[in-house]
Amino acid sequence: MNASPVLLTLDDVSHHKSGHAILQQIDLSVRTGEVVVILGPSGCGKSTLLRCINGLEPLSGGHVEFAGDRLDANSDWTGLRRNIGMVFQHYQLFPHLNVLDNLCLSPVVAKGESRTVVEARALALLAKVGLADKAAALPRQLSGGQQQRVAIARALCMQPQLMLFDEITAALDPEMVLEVLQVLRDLADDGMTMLLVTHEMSFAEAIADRIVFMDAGRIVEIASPAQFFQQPQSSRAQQFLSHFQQLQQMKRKAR
Amino acid sequence: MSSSAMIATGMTIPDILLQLIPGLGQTLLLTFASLALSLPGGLLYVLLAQSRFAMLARGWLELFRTIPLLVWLFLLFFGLPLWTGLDIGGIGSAVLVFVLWGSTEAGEVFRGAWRAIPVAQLEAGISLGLNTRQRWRYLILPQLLRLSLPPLMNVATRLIKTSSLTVLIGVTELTKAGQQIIEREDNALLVYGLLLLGYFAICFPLSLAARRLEQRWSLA
Repeated sequence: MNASPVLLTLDDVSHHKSGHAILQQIDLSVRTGEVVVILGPSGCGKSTLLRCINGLEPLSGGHVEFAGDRLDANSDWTGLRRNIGMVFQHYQLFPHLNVLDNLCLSPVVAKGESRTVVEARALALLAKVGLADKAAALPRQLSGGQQQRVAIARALCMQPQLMLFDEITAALDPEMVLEVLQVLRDLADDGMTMLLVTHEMSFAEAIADRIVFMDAGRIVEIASPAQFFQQPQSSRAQQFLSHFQQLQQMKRKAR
Repeated sequence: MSSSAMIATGMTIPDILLQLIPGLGQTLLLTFASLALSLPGGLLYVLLAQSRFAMLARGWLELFRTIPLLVWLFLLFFGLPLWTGLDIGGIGSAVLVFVLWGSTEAGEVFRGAWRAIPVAQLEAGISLGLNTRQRWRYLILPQLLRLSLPPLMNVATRLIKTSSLTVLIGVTELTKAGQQIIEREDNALLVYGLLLLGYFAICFPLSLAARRLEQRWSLA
């Protein structure tokens, strides 16, 4: 793992919104093939951090270096976005397009690939996420879990080098969480470089190579999952994790 | 009024229908000219409503929501020549009133359609590397069309029905053409019955098509 090259570097990245500092002094490197999970309390800036990586939120300072390109607030991010896939909490499929067209639109239109080539790849991806029979379906005909798997396949269809996942199971019914997380598991096993924001603690522990813990717009701690979950260094992380432990103990008592 | 009187004057139903056709043409012309002008008018209304002069759009909307269209028609047809010496005639007054009214209706349709496309969905388009032109071409405009067309068809049926008011300012549209026959032939029941069927035959398919399209194109 450590031998693989650095794919993404955040250098002193900050983000301000109407005078408030949402992100401050973010330094982070991600190597090719690495799975990094970002944890932290609500409002700590973890989603904003993901959105800064592909320029959905403008940087107020610092820069992002991705696959050799250095970008800051004034750069054109369109090229970078074609190499970084993003999946959102509420899927955000294009409701007027069927599943196959959701996958094919951007590779054909933004990358100028041939429709035939893209379609074959899209169908293979749909099979991979278990939705081979849904190519002609409209998004509204699918369950939340199915829509989210389509959204993952749509991002993958651009053949990105990096995938960003922003709380992608947070809006799903509990029984649909697993089918989506399974797709992420497979993707990690295939060697995809991934940055995830999630509240699924046991999943984070299982899939992460590294945990990044954030609080109040700063990175507080970066550790291996084993170290982070057993011996968190910062008091803020200890406090954060103890809430989850208390929650689990409460569940046991109720039985 | 009896059917024998009607037959005595020699006007059969086909005769009547034939005489109604120019009136029907006038109604459709009035409606679709007004509708066609209301579309750019609606865009203007939206732009105004989004600008810092939003109060003007609000006032424009309320003027046509609170004052009956018939009063507007009288105001322009009788009032305008009286006060300004400018006579735009029956059809001119009708088109002007219907366009001013239709623009607020179309504008509100456009505004609703625009709001129905979530910003987050367009962010998904951005994150997939689609540039501004591509997002308009493949995401925004197709959805605006699907969201706007059915309610615009409903605006059209209301325009068709409302166009009958212009009978009162001397426009020879469908209803007026019917009244002219009644004056000669004294067959009100038959002619109004045919008018009823005529308006229904135009408006019902439109209304039905709007509902069908709305269901087929439903985005949620």
